[in-house]
Amino acid sequence: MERDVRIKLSLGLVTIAVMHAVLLALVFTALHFTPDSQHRDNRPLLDNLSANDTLYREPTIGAPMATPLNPIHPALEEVKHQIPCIPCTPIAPVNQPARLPLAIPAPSVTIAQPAVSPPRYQIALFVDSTTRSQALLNWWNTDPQLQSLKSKCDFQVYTPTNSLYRTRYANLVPIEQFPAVLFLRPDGGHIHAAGGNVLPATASELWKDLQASYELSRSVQSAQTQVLHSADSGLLRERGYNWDAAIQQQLPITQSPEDCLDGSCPTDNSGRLLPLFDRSTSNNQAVLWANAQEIVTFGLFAIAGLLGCMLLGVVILRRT
Amino acid sequence: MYSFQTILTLLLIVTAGCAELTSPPVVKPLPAPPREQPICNLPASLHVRNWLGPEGQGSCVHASLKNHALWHNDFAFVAKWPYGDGDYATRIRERLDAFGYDYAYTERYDSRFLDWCDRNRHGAIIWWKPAHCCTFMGWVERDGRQYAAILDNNYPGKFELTEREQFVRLWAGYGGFALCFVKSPTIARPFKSYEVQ
Repeated sequence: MERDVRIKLSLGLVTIAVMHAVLLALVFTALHFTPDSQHRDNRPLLDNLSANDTLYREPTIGAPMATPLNPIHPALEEVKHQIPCIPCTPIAPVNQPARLPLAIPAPSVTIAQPAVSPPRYQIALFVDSTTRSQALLNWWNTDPQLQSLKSKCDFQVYTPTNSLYRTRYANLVPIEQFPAVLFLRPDGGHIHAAGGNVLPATASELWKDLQASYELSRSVQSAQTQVLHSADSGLLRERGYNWDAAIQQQLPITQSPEDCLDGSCPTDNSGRLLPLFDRSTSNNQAVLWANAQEIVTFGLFAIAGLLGCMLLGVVILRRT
Repeated sequence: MYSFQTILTLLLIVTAGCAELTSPPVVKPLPAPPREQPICNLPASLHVRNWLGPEGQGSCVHASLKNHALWHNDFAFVAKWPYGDGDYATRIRERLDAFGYDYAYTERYDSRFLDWCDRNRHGAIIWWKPAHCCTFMGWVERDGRQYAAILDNNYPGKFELTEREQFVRLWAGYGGFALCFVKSPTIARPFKSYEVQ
């Protein structure tokens, strides 16, 4: 009995090899995830969001009559004489004591202090009167996941007639690309930008796009560490001011869970951005986190491994 | 016909050589531009100028509130806020309460309150200059020193700078009051922060 496995080069074998190549090509074409495809389609928006974009203009400082660029209040006495002012009288309470510039007034009122919370991510919608724009607005009001994200972020809506849009953002998000979504870090760094025909058709697809972009941006955050929610003013420490003691007395800086985006607060104040898309709290529970292409590859690997083992077993059995 | 062995071998050839797992996309961070200064950079064309109210008094407090509201993209407030003439801290807060607006304030010239306002891009209205109210637009860094950027509604179109320590002392003298809305300000200047290679 023949014991050796011999593979002859034949027409059938060549046909099998060609079919193999064609099948692989079809599978990968159908399932291949092009990480930059959404960004390539977003190019018109992203192209405008260049790192050195000069939307910001240096504000005009100083009087329009060409006075030097200096602080204009060298002393209290000079202020009184310098500023011709329309009478604009804040009516003072009757019992308000006279104060000198360096006097420390006795605290006689309850002072509301803002909760010390980190700066927030930002979401901006650019919409007009079209049906797609209204649908986009509606997603953020009805889709549970988008609503949850919206509640954790600063959220703004701009229309073509909005003066702020026309003066600050029109060159970044042209009206032709409405409706559009911008998802930004607290410092304005983009996480996701989509507009026009690139905007997905459903709220859940938009959610997935935002989540994917967020993961991509987090992968570069180690190179862009920023202290975003430290209570350290820096300047006060340089003056030798006892920040910690004063803070404990006047400003509550211990974060309650409600202050933190995902209900849990970081244990350090290194300034890392807090997670917005926490897989443990998402609705997608899975044993294996992989995209479709990876799952197919895993499957084929498993099948190939099984066949290889079967073949080896047959060969061993035949030999014995 | 082909033996079982041969068939197995052919199937192995078909399934073998699967493409390797796709490597994760390579993401390259891009440099961030300098922080906008002041952080509440309300365009000059939107600055609200002071006006004389029905009682012949200046309306600086309300002009400051409107500048503050515009920075928060709250054009509805600007349109609906009905007040003019002079005002004071307690009544402003009462009026904002009646309007349903959430706010934070200090009356102790606490500069850390302004730090918070700057860090969260709110800005604030403050008592500034004799018998006057202006809008604090944030801190500005110049030559290693920090300055308060003030929008004076008597001089719209520009921001006035005062060195921080002097600013705090003078602010105390003017009453040390500051108030800001607790709501989302307009978005920061967007920039491209990464690219996928």
